[in-house]
Amino acid sequence: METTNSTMGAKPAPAQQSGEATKKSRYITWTALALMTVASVASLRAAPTMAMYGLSAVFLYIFPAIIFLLPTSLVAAELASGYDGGVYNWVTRGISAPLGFLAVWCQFAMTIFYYPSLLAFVASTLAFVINPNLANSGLYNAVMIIGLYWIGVWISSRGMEGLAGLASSGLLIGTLIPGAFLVILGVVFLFQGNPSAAPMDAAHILPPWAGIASLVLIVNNFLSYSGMEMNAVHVSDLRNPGKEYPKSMFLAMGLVLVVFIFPALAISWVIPAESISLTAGVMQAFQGFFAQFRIEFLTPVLALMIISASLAGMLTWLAGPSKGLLLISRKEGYLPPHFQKLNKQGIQQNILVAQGVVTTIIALLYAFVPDVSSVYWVFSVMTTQVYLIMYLLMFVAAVQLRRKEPDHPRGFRAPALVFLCIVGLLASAAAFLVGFVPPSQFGGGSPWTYVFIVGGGVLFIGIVIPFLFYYFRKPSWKTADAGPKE
Amino acid sequence: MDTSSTSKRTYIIVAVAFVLLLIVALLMFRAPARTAAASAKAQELISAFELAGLKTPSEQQIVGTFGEDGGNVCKTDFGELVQSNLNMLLANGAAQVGARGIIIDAKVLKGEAIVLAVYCPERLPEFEKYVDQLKTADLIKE
Repeated sequence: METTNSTMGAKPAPAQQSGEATKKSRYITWTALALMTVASVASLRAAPTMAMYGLSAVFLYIFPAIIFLLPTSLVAAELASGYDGGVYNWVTRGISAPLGFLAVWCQFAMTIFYYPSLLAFVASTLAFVINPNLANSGLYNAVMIIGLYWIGVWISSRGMEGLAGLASSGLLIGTLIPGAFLVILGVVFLFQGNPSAAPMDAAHILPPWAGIASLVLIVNNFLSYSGMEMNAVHVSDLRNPGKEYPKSMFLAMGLVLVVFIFPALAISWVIPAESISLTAGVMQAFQGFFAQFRIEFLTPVLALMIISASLAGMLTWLAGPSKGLLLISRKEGYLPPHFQKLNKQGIQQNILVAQGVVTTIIALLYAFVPDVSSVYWVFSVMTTQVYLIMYLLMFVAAVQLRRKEPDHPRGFRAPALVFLCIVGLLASAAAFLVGFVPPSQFGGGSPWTYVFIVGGGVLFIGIVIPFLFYYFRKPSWKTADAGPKE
Repeated sequence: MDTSSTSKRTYIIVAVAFVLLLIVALLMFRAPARTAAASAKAQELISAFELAGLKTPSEQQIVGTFGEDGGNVCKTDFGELVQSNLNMLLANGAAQVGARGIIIDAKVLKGEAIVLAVYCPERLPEFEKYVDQLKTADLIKE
């Protein structure tokens, strides 16, 4: 049964007709959506790494914010305030249905390798405070990754309202409160008369130019803001999407910048870059920070907070791309009807379960096959490359939709949309190209081998698999009205 | 059961699980003891950092992080999974899906190696083997 609401002028879905009380209980607030967006993108996980760059960390976040975050957010705000369904519907209407599927597939594929790495991070963070040796146990990692993923599926399957609440709470408890605490401690440290460990003068605003390494650092940071558009798929869960989604996006943009920049700066004031230790995980750096204030006993509390933020992020990713995949599959028949079924709460449970089976297999390989875990970072590179394809399509679709449907009602019209799209498109293309430059982890291997590996992965994940879905789609699998979706 | 009561039950279950986990973590976490031996070791580390031309953290920080025996840095077995996690952390500023490797600064790993050399030198060769495979650059201004 269709249970997705549309509050933007489209024909009411059956669930909408079942009563106002049911309909109202399914709304989420625009602040909850903003917090979900922040939870999908930002956390304190990267703060110790970025603290190493001292004041340059501000540049490393602000510059990409101008040329990637701003275009992505404003364009997504315009598109979501006029069209529901998220990226699949924007690209379908703006370009074509097959490319709409490719766009949502790229978003979905991104998460396949993301969950095991995120949950392995959660496992190592917990191990740090319980028993550090567990971090290297295959069994422990497998149990944690698989167990937490399925708990996530269970929570997601209980409905959007609970998921939105938990994601917002996780962000508040796991990122905003501890982030503010770190910043306050950092300010106290400076007010005590201690010199900042990282120089805070004009000469340190820009990172030193080290050729291709600097380019890789700066351009790869565009990806810090990946996922800003992802929660647009829930736009029809807002009471007044046209007005509320842009507001939610602006709040999210501000919060993401605050969360990324200030805690990293605070750490750089207190701990010299060279002594930020990461071998035992990020908690080692936070423990060092706390030790300056003789409160290292709070390390387990922070660990649990960071875990809650990571899991909140996971919940938003579980709910987002899979919903987009469901919506386009219903319209175009890409998935067998079994995978299009919704549970009582209107959640695409069968897609999540199918993804869970794949995640379980990947988690087992990651935990028990050293050859897999040692190259796992390559899979992340491949999927970020695939994700960038989605951004390229989104920017093209936004321009096309302005041209094709200039009078279509939009709650928000992005200023200089075409210029924004060109900037966003170029930024995404630059990030895509830089993705082929071998990072530290590849060592002294041949750059062409790296290009071949990453290129092959992108081709397989981003082109071959979606083509197979397209090839094997069946008109009889369509379960929704294929008419235009507003 | 309506949506709100389902959500409420979910909140309660998740909150209880987190509180229990927090209690376990608080009971099991051992912060390094701030002893004279830990201070002496911290001074040794500070001297080693100075000798290498690196900025030094405060003694307070070192003692509360590494104690007498190196703390978790020396307790964590530097095996494949730990290395895999480290590979994921040596990345750009993304905290969620956009995380991917960059070319890191050698100074960061130099500091880490000194910590291992002072507190648990037996673990140093394994770490150096890992570091030797990495490509590095100068990205952090002195």
